[in-house]
Amino acid sequence: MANFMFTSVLGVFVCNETGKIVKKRLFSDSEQIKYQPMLKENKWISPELEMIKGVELFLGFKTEKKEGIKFSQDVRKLDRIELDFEKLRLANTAISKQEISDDFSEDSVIMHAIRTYDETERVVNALVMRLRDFTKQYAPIETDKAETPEQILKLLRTPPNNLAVPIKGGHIKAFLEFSKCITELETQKETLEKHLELTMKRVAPNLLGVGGALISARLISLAGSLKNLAKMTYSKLQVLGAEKAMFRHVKKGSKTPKHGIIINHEIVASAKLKGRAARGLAEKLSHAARLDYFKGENMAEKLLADLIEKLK
Amino acid sequence: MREIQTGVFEGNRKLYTLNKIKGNPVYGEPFVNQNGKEFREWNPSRSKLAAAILKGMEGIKIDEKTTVLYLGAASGTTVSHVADICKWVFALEFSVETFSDLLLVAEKRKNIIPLLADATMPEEYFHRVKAVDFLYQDIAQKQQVEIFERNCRLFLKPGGLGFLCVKARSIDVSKHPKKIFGEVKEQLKNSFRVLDNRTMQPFQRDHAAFLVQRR
Ligand SMILES: C[S@@+](CC[C@H](N)C(=O)[O-])C[C@H]1O[C@@H](n2cnc3c(N)ncnc32)[C@H](O)[C@@H]1O
Repeated sequence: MANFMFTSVLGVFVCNETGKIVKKRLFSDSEQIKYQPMLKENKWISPELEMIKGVELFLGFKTEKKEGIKFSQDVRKLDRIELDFEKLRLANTAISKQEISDDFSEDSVIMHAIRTYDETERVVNALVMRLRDFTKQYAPIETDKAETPEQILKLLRTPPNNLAVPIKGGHIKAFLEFSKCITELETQKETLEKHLELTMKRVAPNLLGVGGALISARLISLAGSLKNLAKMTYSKLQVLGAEKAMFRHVKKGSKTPKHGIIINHEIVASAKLKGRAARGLAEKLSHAARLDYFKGENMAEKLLADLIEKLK
Repeated sequence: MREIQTGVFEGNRKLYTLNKIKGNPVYGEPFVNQNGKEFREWNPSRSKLAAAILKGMEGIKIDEKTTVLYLGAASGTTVSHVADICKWVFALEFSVETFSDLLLVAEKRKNIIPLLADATMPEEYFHRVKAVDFLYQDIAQKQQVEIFERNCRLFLKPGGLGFLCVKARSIDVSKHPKKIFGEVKEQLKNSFRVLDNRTMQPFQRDHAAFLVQRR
């Protein structure tokens, strides 16, 4: 009776109804990789078309119909075809590796960079808090006045003349020595931020322009990818980063969280009506994300100007 | 050490599988050596299949001849134990970050066939797998039951077994897990014989596992 065709990662097979392979065209290693994108999208490939004569049934899916060919996904047929597992393993491993490297898109670099940046900031803050406990012992008033990490480090570098508690110079020197790594971390953090900005300029210029490098990168990171962010509704984007508050809201009926991390954006932070500003900004960011994902033109300036006008 | 079902061992209330690749832990699990054999401890808090077996689920008939399609392989924790027991495991995972870990596991354990693919799109990997005896699914997704049914229809041999892990919260946060599990069972009955089902208490919260057979 009818012969059927099945294409696997290993090649194209024509089988009789008992599943015995009557004709085959095996793929070379490079063909396995080459045909994968088309097979994944269920498009016909040329080796199939070359062998299609006399075939009445195709086992699998195709997006395009073909005269005289029926389709089936009968598992019994799939079961009968004899394919070598070891060869399937090698081919699938090679294809998966190729797909991983294709997927290494620059938005993943943005995500790694911003996560590293934020983590560095947390580490620096924790270390400075420790040093603060130390400087407080000999310079309590100056320590309380210090607002930035830099000011604390300064108390180590040049301790005030009149120490509240006398302390041997050697101790301060030891901590000063250690604090060099904090300074270094700060410098590296800035370098990373510059790299982040450069990458975003290429990959997400609209987001960069509207939201700034750090906030936009955090949005991409929270969404999981630029694609996810682009597909998100603006109301969801508005609460990104407020998941904990959202969960409390669903569980315990507390107030709906109005804004996630975008609250840190200048426009929202300085607005009197924060909810309104956050919604406006979220709309523009959402628009920006779509422009970036679909590689549209750079309209960041216009988006920002529209927003400011609207919020007046 | 007692073999409680093919390839699965119990000693001191703990589960083990016979390590196919000696000296190699996958996720830091301890080993026990006996009669020149090396057993890997199988932690029920990290693996729903181990939890189900410990909870007495019956009829999980898998052995050294079984071929498996595993959906939601993650970094290969449970997959590695299934690979100790079975012949071949197609291990499918869609998160790129996790998949890199899985690739490393599959590099050593050569009966694992790693697939970077999305379980909701079986037509995208139809050409990469074979019909299997055992289909295991552990993906925390809203449509997890439909996804399971579709994959079983395409890839599970008639008479083959399916194992579905259900995370109540991914189906509906607001409903009581018990209610969800009841609905899942009814839904599964439409296309399968439901052989057994258990909650994963106390090993995993608000999770249940269903063992079904394709007619
Ligand atoms: C709970 S974890 C699985 C743990 C694993 N079964 C174990 O015991 O070692 C769920 C995994 O399913 C993956 N996943 C979720 N949806 C998926 C889908 N549609 N296709 C493939 N994998 C999916 C997730 O990325 C995650 O790694």
